Amino acid sequence: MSSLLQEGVITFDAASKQEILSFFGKTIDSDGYLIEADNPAQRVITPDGEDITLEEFAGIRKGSEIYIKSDLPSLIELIDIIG
Amino acid sequence: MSLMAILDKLKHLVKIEGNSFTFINIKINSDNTSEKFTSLNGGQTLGINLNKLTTSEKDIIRPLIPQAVEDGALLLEDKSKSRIEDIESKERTHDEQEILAFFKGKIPPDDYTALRASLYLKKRFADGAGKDEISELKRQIIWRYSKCGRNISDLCSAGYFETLIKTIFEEKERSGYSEGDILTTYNLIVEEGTLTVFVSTGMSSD
Repeated sequence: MSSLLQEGVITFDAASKQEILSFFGKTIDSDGYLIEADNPAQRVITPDGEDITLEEFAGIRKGSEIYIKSDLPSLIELIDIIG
Repeated sequence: MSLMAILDKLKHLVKIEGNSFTFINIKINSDNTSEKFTSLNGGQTLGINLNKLTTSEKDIIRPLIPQAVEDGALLLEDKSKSRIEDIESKERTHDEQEILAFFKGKIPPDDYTALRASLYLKKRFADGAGKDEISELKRQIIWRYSKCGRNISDLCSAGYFETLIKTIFEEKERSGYSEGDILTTYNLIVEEGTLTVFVSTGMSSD
């Protein structure tokens, strides 16, 4: 196993995504994008300013809740950040 | 509140026979098969099935997850965790370490990440990954890095980074070309996506 992911990690399966997001006050709009539950006009974005769909949502890391996308370049960048 | 402190808060909720509660990770699922709480990975991971929790149990757990993230825990979908572990495993191989060490700091950061992604894609293809996965990974590289990403991916899969492009850098460095000149040649290659520019600059292929 990766040395970066051996401890202090909370994983979730795809079926748990929406409920996990609700723990953070987030939900999904009609187009499938993550939005603030108490402000549906406000989409959740990555540090690069990108919207995130439920399918793309891969997780959250510390730092005012930084949302992680599941595409290959994003996961490679995450390796460098958490490494 | 650290993940350990949060796990400590869950102790009174979690009843797993014979378990000494030495968890260091949490795995959340919502299926119809597993128990409410399970001990996984030799007692290192606490499994929580959201579907099986009572409302009051969920009310206890709900604020703990954001608190754990705030305190530094990483919240990650399980398939992305698997992907990261696979990327790292492949990047630890000698051939990838060699090529990545060579190009690190020599090419733009985005190109370097595109190269890493392309090397991973190449290895997944060699693993026998399905066509859908390969197409999707390549689409993700192109979506992020556009034409250069596509070209880097194609050049990488054809083995040109390990051979001709590396040789261009080495030969030009040996011949006293500046970093800027070398990068100019490199940029022409990845922007065009072919080595016709390499040929047209008059360098011998010997």
